[in-house]
Amino acid sequence: MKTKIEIRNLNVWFNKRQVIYDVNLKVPEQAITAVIGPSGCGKSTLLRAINRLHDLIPEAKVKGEVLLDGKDVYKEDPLVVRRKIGMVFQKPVPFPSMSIFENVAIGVKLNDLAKKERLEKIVERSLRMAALWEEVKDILESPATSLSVGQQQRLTIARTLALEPEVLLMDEPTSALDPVSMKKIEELIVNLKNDYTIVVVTHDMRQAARISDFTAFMYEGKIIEFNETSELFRNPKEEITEKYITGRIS
Amino acid sequence: MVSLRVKKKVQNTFLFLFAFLSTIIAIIPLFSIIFEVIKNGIEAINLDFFIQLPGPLGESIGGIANAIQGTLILVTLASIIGVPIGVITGIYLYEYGKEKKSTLISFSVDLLYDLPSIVVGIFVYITVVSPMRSFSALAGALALAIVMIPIIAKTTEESLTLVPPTISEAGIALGIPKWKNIIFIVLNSAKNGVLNGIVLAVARITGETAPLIMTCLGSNFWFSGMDKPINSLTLLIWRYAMQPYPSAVKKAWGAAFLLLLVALALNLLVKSGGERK
Amino acid sequence: MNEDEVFYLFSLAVASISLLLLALILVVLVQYTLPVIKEMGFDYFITSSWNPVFGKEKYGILPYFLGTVLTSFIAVLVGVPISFGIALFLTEYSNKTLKKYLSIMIDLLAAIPSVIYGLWGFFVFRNFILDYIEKPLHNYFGKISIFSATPTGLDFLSGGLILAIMIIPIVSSVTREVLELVPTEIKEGIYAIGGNRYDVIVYGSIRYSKNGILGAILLGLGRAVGETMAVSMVIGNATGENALPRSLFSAGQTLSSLIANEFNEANPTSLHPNALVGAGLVLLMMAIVVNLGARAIVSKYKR
Repeated sequence: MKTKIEIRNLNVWFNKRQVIYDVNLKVPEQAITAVIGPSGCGKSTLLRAINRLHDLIPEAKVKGEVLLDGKDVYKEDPLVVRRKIGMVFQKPVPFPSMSIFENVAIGVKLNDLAKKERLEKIVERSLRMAALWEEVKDILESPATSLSVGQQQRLTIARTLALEPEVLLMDEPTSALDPVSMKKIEELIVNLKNDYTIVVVTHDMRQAARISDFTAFMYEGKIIEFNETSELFRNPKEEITEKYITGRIS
Repeated sequence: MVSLRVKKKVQNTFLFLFAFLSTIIAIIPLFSIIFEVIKNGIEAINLDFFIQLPGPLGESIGGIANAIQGTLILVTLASIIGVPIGVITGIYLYEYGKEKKSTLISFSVDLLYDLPSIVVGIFVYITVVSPMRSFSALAGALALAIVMIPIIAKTTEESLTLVPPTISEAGIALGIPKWKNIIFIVLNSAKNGVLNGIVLAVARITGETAPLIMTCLGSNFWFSGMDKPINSLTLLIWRYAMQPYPSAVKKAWGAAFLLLLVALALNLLVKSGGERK
Repeated sequence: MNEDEVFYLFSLAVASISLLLLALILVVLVQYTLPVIKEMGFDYFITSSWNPVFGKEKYGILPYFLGTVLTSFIAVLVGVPISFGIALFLTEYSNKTLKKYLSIMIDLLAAIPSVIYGLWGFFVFRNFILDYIEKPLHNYFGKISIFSATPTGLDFLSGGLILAIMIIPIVSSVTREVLELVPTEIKEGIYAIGGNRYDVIVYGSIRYSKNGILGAILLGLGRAVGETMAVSMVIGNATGENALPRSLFSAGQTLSSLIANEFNEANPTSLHPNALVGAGLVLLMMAIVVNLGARAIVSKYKR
C-alpha cells in the first residue's frame, strides 16, 4: 500500500525530558492505523507531532521528519499542514458561543476558503459525511452546546471535514462517549477511510481490533511493533506487545 | 466551674451571633442609602429636572439636564478610548503575559489599577488642563479612560483565562493563524465575561467624581465643546450637597437618585446576565 | 507567522500604554512636587502649617498624612471584623439561596458611587453617629482625649466609619474565598477530636488561612487609603494645625480630601498647587506600598 505519512527518526522532548525516542513509522494511505499502548507511552504526543501542535508549546522540542506525500511538514507552512491534516480530540469541543452551522463553517470561514454562498453547501456536505445531517438539518441555528455529547463529537468531525483534509488524526475519539455513540462514531470512521488516511490513538485494544487495518504498538515513547492489525493481535512478534495485548501490562 | 458542654454551647452561640450581627450591620447601610436616596430624590424628579439647566445656585427652579448630558458625553468618550485599549491589553496579558519580558507591563497594569483616582485627576490636570489653560471635557474623559483601562484589562484577561485550553487547541488544529484563534475562537467564547467586565467598568466610571474635579470642573451650562468645562451628575452632587440652599440640596438628591439607579441597574444586569454562561 | 508577529507587536504596543502611563504619572507628579520641596525642605513632610497666602506661604502635610492613617485605621478596625463575620456567615451558616442573595447585596454596596456615600454620610449617617455614638461617648468619657472635642458628626470618626462600610465588600469577598479554600480534612480533623464549630473556625480555618486573611485586610486598607469623595464630605475639612488629630471628634482632613477640597481654588502662581500635588504623591506611594504588599501576600497564599 502507498504510504501517506512517513515519520522518520522522530524525537520529542518536554522541558528537556525525552518522551518520544527515534520513532519510524509509515502510515498507509486510505486506511485506518491505530496507535495503542499503555497510558503515558506517548501516543498523543506522537499524534500531535504530526500536525505540529507542539509548535505552540515553548517547552516542547521536536527533532526528526514527518513526510506528508514525501514533503516534510516541518518545512512547510504550519497552517497549510493543519488544514491538510485534521485533528479530532478526546473531549468533544464545540465552540460554545456558536451555532451548529457556525461551528462547522468556522474553519472554512477563518481560512477564507469559500464565499458565503458556498458555505451552506459545505456545511451540509460535511454534516452528511459525519452522519449528523439528518439529526440537525432543522436546527442549524441552535447553539452547538444543545447537542448530546455523541452528537457534539460528530459535529467536531464535521468541522474538521469541512476543510477537506487528506488525513484525519483522532486522539481517543470515543473515550468520552457512551457505548451507543461510540458505535456510531466507529462506523463513521470506517466509512471515512475510503476518502481519508486515518490515524486513531486509542487505549481500547478491542476498538483497535474492530476498526483498524494497521496497528502500531507504543511503549515508553518507542514504537515496539507495527503490523496489519490481525497479524499484530494474533502473532505479536515482541514480548512486550504480547504482554500488553494479554493484559499483563497496562 | 462552668461545665465544658455549656462552654462549648456558649462559644457556638457567640460565633453565630457574631456572624449574624455582622451581616445585619453591613446590610443596613445598603438599605438606608437606597431608602434615603429614593425618599429625598423622588421629590426632585419632574420634567424640568430632566430638561432644564440648573441656573444660578440657590434658584429653586431648574434641573440637572446639563449634568445628565455631561455624564453621558464623558462616559461615552472615555469608553471609546478606554475599552479598546483595555481589551487589547487584556488580550496581550492573556497570550503573552507569562513571558519574562511582560512582567513589567503586567506590573504596570496592576499598579494603575490600584491608583487612587484623584491622583489620575492630578496627572491629567498637569499634562492636559495646564497646557491647554482650560478645564475641558476632553481632560475629564481622558482621566476616566485611564481609570477604566486597568479594570477592563484585568477582567478581559480573567475571562480569556477561563476559556478551556481545549477550545484554543481545537481552533489551532483547524489551521488558522494564532491571532485569528485568539480573537475569533477564544475571545468569542469569552464574549459574555468580557462584556460583563466592560459594563462594570462603565458603571464604575459613571460614578467617579475625584478625577473630574480638576479636569472638567463642572459647569452650569450645556456642553459647549470638548475644550470647555462640562458638568456631570457626580460633580453636581458633590458641589450641591453641602450648600446652604435647600433647592441645591434637592437637586443633589435627585441627581443621586438617577445615578444610583443607573449604577445599581448596570450591576444587577451583569449579575443576572453573568449566570447565563 | 508573519500575521502573528504583527499581532504580537500591535498588542504589545497597546499594552505598553499602561507602562507608559504609570511611568509618566510618577515622573510628572515628582517633577511638580519638587518646587514645594525646594522651598520647604523636609519640613513639608513633618510640619503642620498650612498657609497658601502669598508672601507667607508654608506647607506641611503631616496632619493630612495622619488623617489618612487615622481614618484608614478606624476603617480597618471596624470594617475587618464585620467583613470577617459576613464571610463566616456566608460560608458556615448560609444555604445556597441565602448565599446568592447576600452576596448580591454585599456586591451592591461596592457598586454605590463614593459621592453618594458622601451625600448619605453628610445628611443621614453623620446624625446617627452623632446622636448614638459621639454624644454619649463625649458625655460619659469626655475627659479622655480621644473623646474630648465637641462632637459635630463631621470628624475623623465619621470619616473612618464610612470608610469601614466601603471596604466591607472587598475584605469580605476575599476572606470568603480564602475560607472556602480550607480543606475539609482540616475541619473534619477538629470535629473528630471533639471540637465544636467555634473550635473548627478558630483553630482550623483561621489558623490555616492566616496569610490570606492578612492579604484581605491589606486590600481593604489599600481601598481605604485611596478613597476620596465620601471621606471629604464627612471629615470636617480642617486645615493646618487644626487638622491634627487630637480627638476622634475633631474635624480633620485626609490627603485625598485635601486635594478634592482645595485643588480648584489653589492659586496657580503660588506653590499651593505643588503642595497639593505633593500630597497626591505621598498618597500614591502609600497606596502602592499597601497594595503591593496585599498582592504579594494574596498571590503567595494562592500558591
